[in-house]
Amino acid sequence: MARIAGVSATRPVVIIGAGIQGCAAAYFLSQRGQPVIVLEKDYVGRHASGVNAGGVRRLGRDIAEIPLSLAAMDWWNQIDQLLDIEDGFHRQSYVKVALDATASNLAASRIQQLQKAGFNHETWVDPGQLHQRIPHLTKSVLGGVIVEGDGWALPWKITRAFYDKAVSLGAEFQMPVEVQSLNYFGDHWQVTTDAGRIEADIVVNCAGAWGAQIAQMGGDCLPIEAHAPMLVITDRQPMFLDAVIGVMGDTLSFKQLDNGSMVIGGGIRGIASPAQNKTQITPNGLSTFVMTAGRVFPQLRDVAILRAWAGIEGYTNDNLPIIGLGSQPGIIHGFGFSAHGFQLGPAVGEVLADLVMARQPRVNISPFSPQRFN
Amino acid sequence: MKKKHFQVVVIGAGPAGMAAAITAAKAGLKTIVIDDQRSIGGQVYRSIQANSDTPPQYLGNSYYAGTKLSEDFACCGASYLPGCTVWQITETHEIALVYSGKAELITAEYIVIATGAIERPMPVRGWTLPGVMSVGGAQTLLKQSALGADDAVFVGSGPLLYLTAWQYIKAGMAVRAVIDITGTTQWRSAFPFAPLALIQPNMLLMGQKWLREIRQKTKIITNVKEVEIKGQSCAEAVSYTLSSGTKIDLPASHVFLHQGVVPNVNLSMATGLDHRWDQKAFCWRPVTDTKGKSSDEQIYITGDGSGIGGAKAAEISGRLAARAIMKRFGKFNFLKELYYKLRYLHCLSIRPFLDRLYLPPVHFRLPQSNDTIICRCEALTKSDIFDALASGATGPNQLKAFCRAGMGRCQGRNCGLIVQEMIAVHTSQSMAETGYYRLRPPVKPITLAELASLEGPWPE
Repeated sequence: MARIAGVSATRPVVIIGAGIQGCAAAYFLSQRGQPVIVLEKDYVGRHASGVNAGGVRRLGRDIAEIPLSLAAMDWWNQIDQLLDIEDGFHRQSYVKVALDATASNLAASRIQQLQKAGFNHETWVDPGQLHQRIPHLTKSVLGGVIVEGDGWALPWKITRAFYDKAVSLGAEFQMPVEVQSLNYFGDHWQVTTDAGRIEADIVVNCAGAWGAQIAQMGGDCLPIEAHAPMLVITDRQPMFLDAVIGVMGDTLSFKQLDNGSMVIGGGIRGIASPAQNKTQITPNGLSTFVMTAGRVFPQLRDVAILRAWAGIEGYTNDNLPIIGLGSQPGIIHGFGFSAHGFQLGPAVGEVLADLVMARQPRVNISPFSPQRFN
Repeated sequence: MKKKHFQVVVIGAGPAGMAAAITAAKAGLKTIVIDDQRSIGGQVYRSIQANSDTPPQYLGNSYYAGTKLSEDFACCGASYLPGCTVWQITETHEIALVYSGKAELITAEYIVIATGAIERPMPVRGWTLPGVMSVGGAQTLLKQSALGADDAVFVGSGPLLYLTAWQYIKAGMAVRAVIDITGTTQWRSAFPFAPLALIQPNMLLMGQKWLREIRQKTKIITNVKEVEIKGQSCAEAVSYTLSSGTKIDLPASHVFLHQGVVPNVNLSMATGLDHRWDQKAFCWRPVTDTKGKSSDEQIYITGDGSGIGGAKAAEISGRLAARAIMKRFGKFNFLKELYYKLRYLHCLSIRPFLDRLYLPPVHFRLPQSNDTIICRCEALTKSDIFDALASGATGPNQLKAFCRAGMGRCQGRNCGLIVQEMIAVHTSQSMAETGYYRLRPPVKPITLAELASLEGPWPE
């Protein structure tokens, strides 16, 4: 079993990365009275955390990830009180529609598989019900898998709110500050940045797509790849949709924001250049998932797209995040969320805070162990 | 599907684009011109072919200078795709376009971006009221549809303001007044460059003529330090304050605003090319060499899109860019290149004078009242922007996240420069340090079905 790190009161905890995981960890640690310094090379929520699709879903998750996702949902359901914000979480429902028989079968076996594992949050919904709830939905829908109470949030708003709250509780953020090296001195870490050195008992790596680089500095070889999942946003339309829509067996996420704009994504990748902080949109890739949206909502053919974008995200080869203690004492990893870490954020922040303070997290995180790549 | 390939793809059919295409096509290069508009001419020579058949005299000689160019273009051998939107240029030089409802990717050995200029926003109070439009817009209506409005008030500065007022008068319309915001500071800083401007006496004489003929029909009000457009649901009056302090309300239901043009860098920025802030001309410009080559070896930027020089300079810079491309195909004519280079310098000699004279005073570049709308698409006022800055936004891209400025249909084309300067003032940074919105494709809106058409027909 992994060694549990301990904290002395003399030195702060250094968190690397001010995305949602880093900001949430900073929040939970500050709330527990632990001094924290967050180092961020750009600004809060600059990459995947600020510009993702904003899906808050338990639907469709890997079984190993469900307990963490359920724990996160407890926080989402009280996010306004937690972070002193309004309309932080748009609690709706999340549906993956089945457009053909293969997809229906996939849905049926998925529901069965989850029930076997003891989870009942995903259920089947008939085409009749779907049409009643979702106008404009294609006539050819065969049904779908639904999770009531899933929904969406504005990713930047939530990430920023965790930051604001952490700051109000005393967390220190240094931005833009880039970490250049990590050195372990037997009882503490020396973090060398382009703005000086910091000594820390514990370093928490929440560096997202840059997490492998930070891990490398801390002596861990953790394989992740940087990718740039693409999204588009449309012109405003009359409100018609109060659910987030996906497609069974295909890549789509589709939601309508409060102002009537629709955000369409699904994970089709553009080109990521993490070293330059740059992403490039690929026209053919965009076309693929916009076509999928067309299969679900054919009536939206003449709606204008205003902007396409992509954030830089770190993917592991098994699509599960890396959460846990590193090989040297006092380094903790929390990155590689493979484009489904936004919803997990609050729970991950709590888990990371637990690991820092040598408490046993309330959910099992062994499937996310950094040691699984050894 | 196999992508169509061209040796030269020119984007924009204004003077720079047409000239580049003529030169390249005549040299035997497989060339295509893609243009948003339904006919050639760009903004300056808009509808030049239709107007050349039965030429309305009120458009003036400077407009009909485009006739010869448009005739040359028609028989130069370049392909021409009107009504076609370019919405992305990828790093591998694929050009994504939409043409009659369908998206297509074409490839190019060399790309010439000739997307011209856009008007600098003029956020005076009331600038978003119905009845208020830009002078450029008013001029377009005149050129393309022979439409105008009687008793309009022209407000602002710069050659286009006076040219359009003159065209209005020549077209027989009543102009209530021309209100010039050029300050004494501008005159003082421009004065040392007047001798250089004298290299182009024709331009100065033409300006003199416009002024004289405008004065015969209406009043030109100068030394104006404040302007506001009043009205409940539409423009009812222009209220201006003279430097003496006198405040006057002039009834007007049509107000045309203009305070100069800046390079239209939307496509070049979205393409990821290097840009620099030009503090003298107070605008962004793509980084190019003297012949228009950008930070990407295969992309040239010509005409006003690389820096404001006017129609003639644009035409010559288009030729220079095409010659630079020809050279890379092994076709080089030293004398011709020298000839165009000298003519280009000649054309630009008036710019230092004009740039300084018509750089709008800061209180016309920045909104003066809290309720003035800055981002039209998202209906954000000056105080909305300041609220976002006060809660911690430190740059244009963060500002987007804080309050959605620049996130609407125009993607910042209208508010970009205003917001940038507001942030620069707020943070005491330079305009260059403040930077601009990160622009993303599609450079212009396209529909879901158009985008999906790369994949196939839209589902029924």
